[in-house]
Amino acid sequence: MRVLPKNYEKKVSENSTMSKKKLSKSRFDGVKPIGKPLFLLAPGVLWLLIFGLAPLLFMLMMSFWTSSIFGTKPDFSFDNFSRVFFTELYRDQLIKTLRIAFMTTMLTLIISYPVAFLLSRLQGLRKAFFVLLIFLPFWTSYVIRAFVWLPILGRNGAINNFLQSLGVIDAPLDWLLFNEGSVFLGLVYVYTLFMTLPIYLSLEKIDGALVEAATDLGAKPFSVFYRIILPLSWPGVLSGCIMVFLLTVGAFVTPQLLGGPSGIMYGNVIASQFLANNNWAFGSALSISLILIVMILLAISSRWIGVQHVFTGGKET
Amino acid sequence: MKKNNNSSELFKNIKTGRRTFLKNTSLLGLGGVAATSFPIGSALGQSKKVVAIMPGVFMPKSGRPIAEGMSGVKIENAPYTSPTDTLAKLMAPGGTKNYDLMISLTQFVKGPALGKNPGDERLHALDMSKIPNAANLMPLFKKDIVTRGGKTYMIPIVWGYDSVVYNADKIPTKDPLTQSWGVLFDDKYKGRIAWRDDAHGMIFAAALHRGHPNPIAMDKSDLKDITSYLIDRKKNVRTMWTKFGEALNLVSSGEVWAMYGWIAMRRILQGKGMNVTNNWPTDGLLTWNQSGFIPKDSPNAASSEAVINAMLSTEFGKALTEATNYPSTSAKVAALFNAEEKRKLGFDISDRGLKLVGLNQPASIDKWVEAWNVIKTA
Repeated sequence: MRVLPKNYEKKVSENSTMSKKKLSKSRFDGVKPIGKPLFLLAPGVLWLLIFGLAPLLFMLMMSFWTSSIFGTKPDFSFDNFSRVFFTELYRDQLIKTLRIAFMTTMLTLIISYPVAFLLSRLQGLRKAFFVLLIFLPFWTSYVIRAFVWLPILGRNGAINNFLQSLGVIDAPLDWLLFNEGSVFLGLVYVYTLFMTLPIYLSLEKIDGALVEAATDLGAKPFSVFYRIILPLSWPGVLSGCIMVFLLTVGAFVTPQLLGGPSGIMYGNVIASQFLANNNWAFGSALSISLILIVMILLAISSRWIGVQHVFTGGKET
Repeated sequence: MKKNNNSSELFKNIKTGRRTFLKNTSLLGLGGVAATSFPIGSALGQSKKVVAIMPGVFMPKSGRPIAEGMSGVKIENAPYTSPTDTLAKLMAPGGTKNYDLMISLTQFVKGPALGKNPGDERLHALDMSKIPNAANLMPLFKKDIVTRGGKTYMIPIVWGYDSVVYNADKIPTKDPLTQSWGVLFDDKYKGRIAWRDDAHGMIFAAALHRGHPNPIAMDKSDLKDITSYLIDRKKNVRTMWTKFGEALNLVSSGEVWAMYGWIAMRRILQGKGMNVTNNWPTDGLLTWNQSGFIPKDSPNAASSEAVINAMLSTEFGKALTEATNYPSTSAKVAALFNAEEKRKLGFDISDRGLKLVGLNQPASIDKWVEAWNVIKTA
């Protein structure tokens, strides 16, 4: 255990006061406080208003309109929303999508945590090398990262060819591709980085002295992980989970490419309204409904798992 | 009558100024020499460049110099995504002046682009005197020229058909199943079939196969019947493709043997040395055509008309057909090919005794899309 020198606190306090005086005399002489410079927030606020809130408000407005082949008209109506909530298809798709998103988030967490932990323990060039390996696939486009599974898992793909050449199988395995399993695989692969990165960053911040102290006090490895590392990396875990969950809920390329004849999620239903049907009003209603439901789910889950810490930077509100 | 109106408009323009008058009269003289393939419209003091939205395939490398040379106009292709995207660009605020020329699916675009009532048109009424090559259209496509109130708004330039594209090494061409859409629905090739992830095309194909004479007129119960049929047949499907490259990959990798496909897919797969062909479904060949049209407020309408005329020319049509296998709508182009080539390209579809069904937009497309999502969800 570390022993602090005598008068440690006093010395720290003196040093701090001295440095403050030094700074005020040298660099900030003559500088007058300018009050609360709220205008400095303007660029950020404007950006959020123009690129965040305005499109969302427009979509909300459009969700109450009506579309026909002649375009979208601002006729106020609740029809789109009643269709979303009272048609079996959309209800089923919503449940299916939330289920897939939850499963994908859990699978990604199970894979990403050990990877992030490993990265946080590595040092020097080895660390740089592994971090690069994690990032490398993400320098290509999302579509390519999903598409790449076709020649790997396909009937004449790498895995089937390999197994056949070893004599393990006589005929190609069809079930490797074009089912819900391959959708999970694609989604987990595509979104791993979004989970690994925040967990890695939160693990990096943990003071090694805490782990050392716990070990010195006799804590076993599992206790150290469960009582110290996991709670301290929790904001990273939550950030990763929220990001992966939100991205998966809106996914439509991966299920389309890898899901086969049943490769459809809520995102595909929304896309079909814009790309095939030209029904922007109903597409907007579907999107708004999804946003609302995800917000409600986050609000409910925040009661148990402290989701609010992700948005408040760990500060109590 | 139409011609006279256009002439008076032209003379109105000439009165606008001495410079314009001199310019136009000299160009009128040149126009006489240049004959029909070098229309005067291209030189009416407008920009010699048009911004066009069209599928890239319809302006092949071999065709571009012909189109630009004949029209005297540089064609700048704006990014193209889909007919839906093209329509969205036209219908968006200011969309009628951002682009000079569009080429897209006639059946899909004409309703929204013309609007509900006369006067709602978002398109420029074409000056047919500047598009003399339109007179050479095959009779099959003359009926698809889009007009309203005596004015012409869209002219078919290229056409094609959707059918079953299949690997003839795996599925013998003699198999009676290949003569219809049935090859996509029968159990015989279970797991070796790809559908297109598209409500419109697939419901059309299934409806024709089920004997519906006019799929776009199907009522609710008919659509329910087709939905149940497709859900039942889905067990035979390996996957559904959405993008061109994805479809090519499915056949070229051997993942599937037959799919709902396009002319260009057959051509590219054949080019790779594969024994791939397309069928001519006896239950109904799905045909479509893509028309040239000009957004209402385009500042370069005359230049665009010159480009449309050039694209309807024999020279461009031949280059287009040879390079892409998408046939020109010009009868003069069809006449350039021998009987065997005509058969391969489909110029003889009217003589084959096939039932030709236009891939028209159903009024209830909303219900079709919903039905398709139900099929995919099942």
